[in-house]
Amino acid sequence: MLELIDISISAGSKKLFDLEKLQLQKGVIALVGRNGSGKSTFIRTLLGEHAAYKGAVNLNGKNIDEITAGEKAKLISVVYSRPQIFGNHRVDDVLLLGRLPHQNLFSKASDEDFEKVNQIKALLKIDSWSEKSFQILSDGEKQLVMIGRALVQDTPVILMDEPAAFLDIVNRYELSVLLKRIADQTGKLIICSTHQLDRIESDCDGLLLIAHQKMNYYNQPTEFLKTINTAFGIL
Amino acid sequence: MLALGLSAIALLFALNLLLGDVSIPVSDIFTLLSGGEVENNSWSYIIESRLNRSIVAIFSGAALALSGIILQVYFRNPLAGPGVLGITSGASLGVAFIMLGGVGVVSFFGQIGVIVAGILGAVSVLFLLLLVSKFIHNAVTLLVIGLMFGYFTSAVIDVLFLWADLDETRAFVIWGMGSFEGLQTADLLLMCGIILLAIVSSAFLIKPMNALVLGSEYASSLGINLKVTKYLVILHTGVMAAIVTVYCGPISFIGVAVPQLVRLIWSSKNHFIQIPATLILGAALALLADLIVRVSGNTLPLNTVTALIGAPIIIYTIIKLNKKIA
Repeated sequence: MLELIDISISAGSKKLFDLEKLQLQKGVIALVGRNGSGKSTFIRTLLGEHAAYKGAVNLNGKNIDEITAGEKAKLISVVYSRPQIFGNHRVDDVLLLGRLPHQNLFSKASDEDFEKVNQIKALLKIDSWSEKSFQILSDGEKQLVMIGRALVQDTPVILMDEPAAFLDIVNRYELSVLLKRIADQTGKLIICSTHQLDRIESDCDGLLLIAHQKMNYYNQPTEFLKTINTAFGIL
Repeated sequence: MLALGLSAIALLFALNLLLGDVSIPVSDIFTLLSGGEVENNSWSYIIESRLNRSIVAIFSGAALALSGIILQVYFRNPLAGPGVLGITSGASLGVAFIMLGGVGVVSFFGQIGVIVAGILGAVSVLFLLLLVSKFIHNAVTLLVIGLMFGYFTSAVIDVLFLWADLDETRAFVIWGMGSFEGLQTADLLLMCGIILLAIVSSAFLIKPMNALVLGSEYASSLGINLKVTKYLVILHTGVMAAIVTVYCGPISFIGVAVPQLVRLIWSSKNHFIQIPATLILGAALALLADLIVRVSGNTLPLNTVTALIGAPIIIYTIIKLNKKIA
């Protein structure tokens, strides 16, 4: 599904990291690295929004730079740290925005679009929120809706850039468990950058670690914490 | 809801034909509109002028409100409007160059000169913005630069006043108060044609605007081309604001108030619904404002009336929307 070959990513004149080869199919993959190590840049590279890289990023066998924006929106969805909406949208309105890539010029919502929204609300157990105003939700609830919006977009790949940054401990725990459940139930590939390591061995299937200008992939969950601590020299 | 808005426009339109300094019987208005003859022939000129004025009000109101909603969503700011990008001020500057440019400039270039200069002024600011926007990707930064363009051009206009005599100053100040009056049929067709074109092509902004409420990063991930969207936004709002400003003066408040009212009234968040709603409400509000101007015997300036109606609407909707949020 997602394939990266001989990647070298830089920002401005600064080189961020290299990556030899990576193939990812499904599951929750944690993206770990220090501030400024290039986690967000990596996510933007996968989205085809960061041009300063060498190598090839392939999605379903096709180079990311050759996929049109409209097609890409059907393959990759995103969740950022800060949920924000301009306007007095209801939860259903926000979720429906995920259907945009599947809609025509006039954004007319089809029965299938509403069906998808209902399906995701059931999956996230937020059926009762439909009519609620998005703005009155707590940060945790808002982020849950934004994850729902990404799921409604119905893409095989979901990228998350520190989705838990503004969440409290309980919400972080629940988010972590939820992502694992979604990946298991839907077979999606979820790449999620995070600084929170307490659930990483139980809830993640893979680890992408950026350390010393190298990105490495590990797939033995029981070794994750040890690997991270060794890489950064903290014990 | 849309039907209600359309009937409001029809009613206001009828009232605008009916009311004025000269009272003309309803039956005679119908006779004149259907091409017949009435005993007082000068009435046909009055009706034609009232008709033109109402059509100008409808299109100007719709254009300003549409510019407003596009800019508010693009900048994610409920206070954004056609005035903020400096395009209105650019048009004002062009008009000022001709009107304040020295003795006899207006009579030499005539009305056409004022219009061409206004459009040139607006288009110059527009191109400057497009140029700057090549290097600036942040919407807020672009907004600030637009505001600065506005302040700068206003300052240049103030400087121009130094060379103007009393009559020129008076003419420019009156233009600045705004009015839907006095457009000849040829000008009216040009203005309405351009606005109509902008309205139709704004269909290409429906999806980008729907996505942009989430912010530009999310919009991009939904397949929206941010670069193309930026140019579409500047072109649409710039052209519409320029054409209205040149012909009717810098009209305030309609562009800011209407989009907020639409957001409050209409529950659908799809701009396929919100844009038509904005057009209708903008047209209705402009007609209402002009009706009040006319009932006052043309003594109240249009901008005074739009402020009197617009400012309370903005205050009301902001309080109301915040109540829903908090």
